[in-house]
Amino acid sequence: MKKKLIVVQYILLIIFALVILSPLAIVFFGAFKTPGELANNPYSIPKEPVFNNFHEAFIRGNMLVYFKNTIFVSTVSLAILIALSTIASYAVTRPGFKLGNKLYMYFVFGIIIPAQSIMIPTYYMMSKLRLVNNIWSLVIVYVSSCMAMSVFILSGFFRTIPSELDDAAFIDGCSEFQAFIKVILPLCKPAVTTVLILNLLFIWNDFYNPLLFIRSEEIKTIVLGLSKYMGRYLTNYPIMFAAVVMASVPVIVIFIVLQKQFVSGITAGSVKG
Amino acid sequence: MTKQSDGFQRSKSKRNITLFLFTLPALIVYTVFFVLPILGDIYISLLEWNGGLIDVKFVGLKNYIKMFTEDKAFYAALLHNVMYTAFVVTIQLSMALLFALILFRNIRGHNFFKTVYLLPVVLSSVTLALIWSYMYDPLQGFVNYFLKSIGLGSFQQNWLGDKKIALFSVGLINAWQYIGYSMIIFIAGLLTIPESLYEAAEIDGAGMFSKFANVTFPLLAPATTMNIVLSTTGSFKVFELIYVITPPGGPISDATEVLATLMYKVGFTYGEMGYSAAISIILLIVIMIIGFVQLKLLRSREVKY
Repeated sequence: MKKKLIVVQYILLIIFALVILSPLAIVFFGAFKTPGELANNPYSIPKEPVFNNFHEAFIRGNMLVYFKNTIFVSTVSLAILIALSTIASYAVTRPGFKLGNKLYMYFVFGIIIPAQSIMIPTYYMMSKLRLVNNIWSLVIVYVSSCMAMSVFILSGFFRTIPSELDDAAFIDGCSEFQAFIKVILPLCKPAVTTVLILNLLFIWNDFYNPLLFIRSEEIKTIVLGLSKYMGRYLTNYPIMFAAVVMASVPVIVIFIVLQKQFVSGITAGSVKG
Repeated sequence: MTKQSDGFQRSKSKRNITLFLFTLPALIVYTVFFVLPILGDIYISLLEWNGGLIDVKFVGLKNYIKMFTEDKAFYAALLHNVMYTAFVVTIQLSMALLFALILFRNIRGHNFFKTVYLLPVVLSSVTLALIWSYMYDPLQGFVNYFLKSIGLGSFQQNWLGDKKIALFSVGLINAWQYIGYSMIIFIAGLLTIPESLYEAAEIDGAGMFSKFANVTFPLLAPATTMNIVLSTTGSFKVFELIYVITPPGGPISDATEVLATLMYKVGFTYGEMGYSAAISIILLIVIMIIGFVQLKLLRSREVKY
């Protein structure tokens, strides 16, 4: 009975793994096929792999530009976000800080606000600031809309660090800022990594804000650029596949390397999706 | 205040000021670009406004009255939201629970399966839309090919072209993407149940199903609630997947219109900012009601730290 159950369990696990992997594998291998081979032989490993789909998508599909923009937006947004959210989380979790808990609640309240619902005022504000079709509009939106979740996760971690440590730092002559930078922050690397990876994936994959704010080809992000394949090239799936593979490989690599932090981010109750 | 405590008080209030200054940059960015827009949205929903500088008219609750009394598109979209959410949540959570129950005991290969199941979570909705538009292609797609090859050819569909099923075809993609995500939360919940309870139930002669019904399921309640909240809010506010797979103006976009896509269309295609804002407030209210449960859960978890 027990043995039978285990066999059934593994069969279910393998079937579902195939359900997840086969679409990804078909697209991955399809990117190395000619349209002719894809039509005749869609679900197997390419017989003679071709690489010009990648070339085509990379050069004519403007992928290089999209990559540069996405890397710029994610790096700048994350740098600002981490700087602002760590120091704020440090402050709101200090036991001596009178307003701490109130400010914490104020930040965390933002978790339940869907970004879609502030689309019109945000768009109006950006157009007043002359930031529509400007890459900095994305930086502003990401820093402000990722703040709530970041403060929540970081504060959860900061709270677990005994406050005797800041007292010890003060006795050693540290200022409040030095205590934060030199003593407390280095202890919070795991939480910072979790916040980094969750927000990096969100920013990298976001379609909504670029759709709203970006028009010009030269400042598009990867996901926005990718959306042009939708409904086009339907006769030439392999080029679209190559673009999809190039856009997805970085996030998949990041996920596999930092899976632990990603999972702990999920179980911290974090949501973006 | 006595003189002796003066110095102490001053240093304490000085520290309070320093700490407040620490929160200030985050506070300003978050308030100006996230909290103020919420208030702005409420105000705009009371206007008749095309987004320009002139022609702004305060109309009170007129947009809401119009929405609830005469707008068929609003009710259609709301109904689609409800059907989509019910469909996605049911499939996503039942599958997630099944695989969590199998995987939480760290059986051989559990890390491999967890990694595979989580993989789609990190892909963007545009990537998923592109992959699945090929998978669902009625002629070349894998789904119809597979159905035919296992003898279920009669179940072949025009998955994204048939108005009756397109919404659910999109919903399947959504569930496919997030089953692993919900599974991780279920696993975390299952690991909090003490082994001794199972042993006690076994001594009492409980079978597998009775153990599940009397031990696992009740003790899994926090994880279940959290999963229901997350998947309900996540699928209720769906925009990207539907917008990309069935683009506005396309042949079947009416059949997949949800509140978020309707709001986008009314605001940016029709230029009715006030009305669009009113729709977004309804979306906001629904999400916030569910979200308060989420915040409560998150806070109650903190106590345990």
